[in-house]
Amino acid sequence: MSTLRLLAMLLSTVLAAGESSPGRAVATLIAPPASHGATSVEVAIAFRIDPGSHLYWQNPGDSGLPPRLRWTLPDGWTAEPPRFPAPQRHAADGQVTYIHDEQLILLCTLQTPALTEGSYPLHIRVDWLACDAEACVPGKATMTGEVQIVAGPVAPSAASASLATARAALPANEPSVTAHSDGAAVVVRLPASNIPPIVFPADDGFRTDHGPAERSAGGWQVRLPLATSAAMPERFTGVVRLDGRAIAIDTPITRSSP
Amino acid sequence: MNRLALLAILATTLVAAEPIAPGSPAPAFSLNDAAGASVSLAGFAGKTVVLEWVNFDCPFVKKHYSGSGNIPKLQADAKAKGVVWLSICSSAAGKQGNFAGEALTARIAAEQAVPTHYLIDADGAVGKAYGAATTPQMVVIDATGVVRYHGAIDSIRSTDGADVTKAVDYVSAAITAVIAGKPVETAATKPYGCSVKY
Repeated sequence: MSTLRLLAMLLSTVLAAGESSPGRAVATLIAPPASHGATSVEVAIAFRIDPGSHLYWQNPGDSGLPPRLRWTLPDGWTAEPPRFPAPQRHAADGQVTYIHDEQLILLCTLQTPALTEGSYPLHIRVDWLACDAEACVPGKATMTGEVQIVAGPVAPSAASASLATARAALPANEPSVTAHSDGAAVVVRLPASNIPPIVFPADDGFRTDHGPAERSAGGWQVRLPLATSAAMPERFTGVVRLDGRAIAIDTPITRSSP
Repeated sequence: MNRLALLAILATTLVAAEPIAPGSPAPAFSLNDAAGASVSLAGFAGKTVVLEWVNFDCPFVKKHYSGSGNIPKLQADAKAKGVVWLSICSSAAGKQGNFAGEALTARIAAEQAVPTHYLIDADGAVGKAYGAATTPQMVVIDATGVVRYHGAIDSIRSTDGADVTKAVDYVSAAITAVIAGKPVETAATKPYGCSVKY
């Protein structure tokens, strides 16, 4: 057997062992190179999730927990909160949760001083909760990597392509959405679509067991009651699935019907 | 009303009930404890009662038992103040967290749990009457049988025992206020945890 084939076999053994992660998901740090002079870099944490299990969105819904990222970064670097793709609405056992299955890529912007050529080390501890129909298990990973800062333009790479794909999947801003409060609930008005929209509020103070979207004024409206434990927020932020695309909402909640 | 609309309303109703609001009377119940003895809420009239929804195999529950010792400590502190602490397991038979007989007795000891009683609600009726959605989930009932706190055990949603000391301890604050006859400042919070395995 050639050394190369032996190596390939060994590698595949290692990867197969990784697939039966006790945390039901495998996390990877993706850190593409950036150019000299950059004042921020974009990296990602990619989860490959075991079949039948799921991870949670930033607002998990009635139970669950979003992944938690704890960075150790070079001096002067700060991490912005991760950006999530649109989740799925998951109703089971009388509960609604907002979940991701199969894979989840969290995009993270790291604010930096103006960077010069070189290699900058990244360290991250990731904790997550993976659940299936029967049980939840915590998972964790400690990863290191580095960001290479290069002199000229950055050459395309698998890492940069992964990030571009993840960026394209992020919810796009949609300024036409409005939200108003009727005291006990927020009524969100959405553009027309063929399939009724699904709303995912980023604020966990809204009840998940709201009624379906109703047709209204050439579009839709969805009424999201507040939980008794929550106060009416100033703004409505969240994500909506609308005919196969995902839109991002960040709009003030007006106090009366417009 | 057409049939579809009726179905939609029914479907909405079936989804998790809103947790019993503070100020509401606590629903009466009788459940068997780990030793098979019947325990009734009415039997504790005149005392402050804490209800704790439990599933020893849930990572959020582990955080507050073996992960930090928080719940055993809260149980001991509450009992020292004359408060009754009832741990309730609403996991259905065959589902995660459902224990019975000697396995249950051994598990309670292993977790160093010291509630007044550990109660078995395998048909989920009591959990549903209170709108228990997660483990852990906490209710504090005053001496007159009124719910005074309902929600999370503390303020940090995580499975990490190291977070306990950084979190706001809603339950102890509620117990202290109820015993003192004062309003509970934070009377309702959103519970966090695993889903109750009904």
